[in-house]
Amino acid sequence: MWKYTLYLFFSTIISSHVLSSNAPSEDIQSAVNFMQNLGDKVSDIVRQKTGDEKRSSLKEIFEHDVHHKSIAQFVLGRLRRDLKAALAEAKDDLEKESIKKRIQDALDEFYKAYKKSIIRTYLSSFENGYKGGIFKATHGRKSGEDGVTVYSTLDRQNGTPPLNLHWVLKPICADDAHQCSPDNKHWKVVDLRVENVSQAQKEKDETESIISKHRGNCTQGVRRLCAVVALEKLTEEHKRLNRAWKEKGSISTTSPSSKTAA
Amino acid sequence: MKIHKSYYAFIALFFLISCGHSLKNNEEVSIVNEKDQDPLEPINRKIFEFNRVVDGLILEPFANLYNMTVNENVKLSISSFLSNLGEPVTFTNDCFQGKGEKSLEAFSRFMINTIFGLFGLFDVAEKLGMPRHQEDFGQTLAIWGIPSGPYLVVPLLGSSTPRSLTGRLTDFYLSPYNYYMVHYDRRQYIYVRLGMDTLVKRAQYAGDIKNFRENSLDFYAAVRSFYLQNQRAQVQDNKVIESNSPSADAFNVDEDDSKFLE
Repeated sequence: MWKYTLYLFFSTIISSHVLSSNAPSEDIQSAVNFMQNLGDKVSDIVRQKTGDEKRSSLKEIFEHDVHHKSIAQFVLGRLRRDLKAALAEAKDDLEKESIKKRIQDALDEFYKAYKKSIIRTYLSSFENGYKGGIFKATHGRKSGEDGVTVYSTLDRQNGTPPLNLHWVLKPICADDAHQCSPDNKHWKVVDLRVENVSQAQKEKDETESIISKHRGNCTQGVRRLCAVVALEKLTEEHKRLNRAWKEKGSISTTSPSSKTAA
Repeated sequence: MKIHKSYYAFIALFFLISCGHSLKNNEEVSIVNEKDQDPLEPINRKIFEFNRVVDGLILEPFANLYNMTVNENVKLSISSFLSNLGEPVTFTNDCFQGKGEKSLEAFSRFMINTIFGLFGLFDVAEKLGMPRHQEDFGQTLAIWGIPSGPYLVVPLLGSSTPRSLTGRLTDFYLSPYNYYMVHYDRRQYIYVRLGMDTLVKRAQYAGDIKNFRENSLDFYAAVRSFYLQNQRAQVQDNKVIESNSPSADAFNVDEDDSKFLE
């Protein structure tokens, strides 16, 4: 009897261990495959397409496969908490509602501008910097509770050593399902580490610098709205950069055709 | 003799500054706020602007000219030759850090490339499966437990910390090339090498730097973040990088901001 109980006990432990360790390794492999496919798609576009066509194809990929909102919230960091604190300082319900509305509008505007910013950053890197490179997703490792870091290299074949690109991916469930199943799960990029330098962390540091600059300029009269004002200014800065890039892009994409016409 | 005395005094001074910041700059801390590591930001920003002007007036035009006029294979050979001159410094620092295998690799690389690669013009060792790695005395000091100290921007040299500045100076004295040139009174060749090294690196990364600058909200904060993240990664030989960068859990998203603001 004891023998069978022990046998049952150990087999339960072993099988549960095997089952639990199988799931993450499948996840890791699927994340590596996802990244390799994404890299191949980008390489093909960079090689085969030109001008506006190339830009719009890449844009489509970065819109679909990068999780902009989570990066935006990470980048904002403690400013989001400060925005919440601004609500607590409202004198009455009426003011609270109006501040809440202003915060939500400011956040929505920021998300929109920041999404364009991320696409701009990724586009300008992949459009020109990674031309003709060979992309290889090598392996993956679990990151946090449900994420995976995929390690890859990009050999630019220009004499510089291959670039190490590490992608942090998170599974996003379709249909707002609470539990992701393999059928409704889709990987999204939340961070790219170029030579171990986290782009999201870099963006966060830049954002903090901009926010502290604008908070420093905040006047006494609107002290409790300083966080909101800083967020609005930050959005303006993003919009300014996006506009400048778009103008520059339209010049560079129109110039070859005008040359041909000439 | 006078130079030696002032050099040691300089090192001692930077050790003291570094130690003074030891509590703030613990390498073990997972994600360090880069702004906290920059108490000299107002001065640093001014020097940074000065460096940008110098770069724009001198370095960038020469780097672009170099990229436009020099053949890719010649560029590769020049870069390889300059890297080979730095191999003895890497070897010495590998020894200081107790990395037996790596030091042997650096030594072998130097010998193979000097003899069979025509004084390093061709990287034969890499083809034999010995890829280049770089170690400097700043990294050695980090391994020995010396904290990095505050972030500094040095005129003409750019981003640094007291530890890495001390490392740079020590590496100068560790280099047999420099020793030889000083001993035989051919100091001008030290400057030629330094100038070539700076020009080649600037030219190699010209596109990346331009991209980085154009896509930054705050170029200073972006460079600082890049430098400090990169330095932490190098100290750990790019191995335990997960602890330095935000994991996937840092990107958990609040889909509905109104709930967050409740």
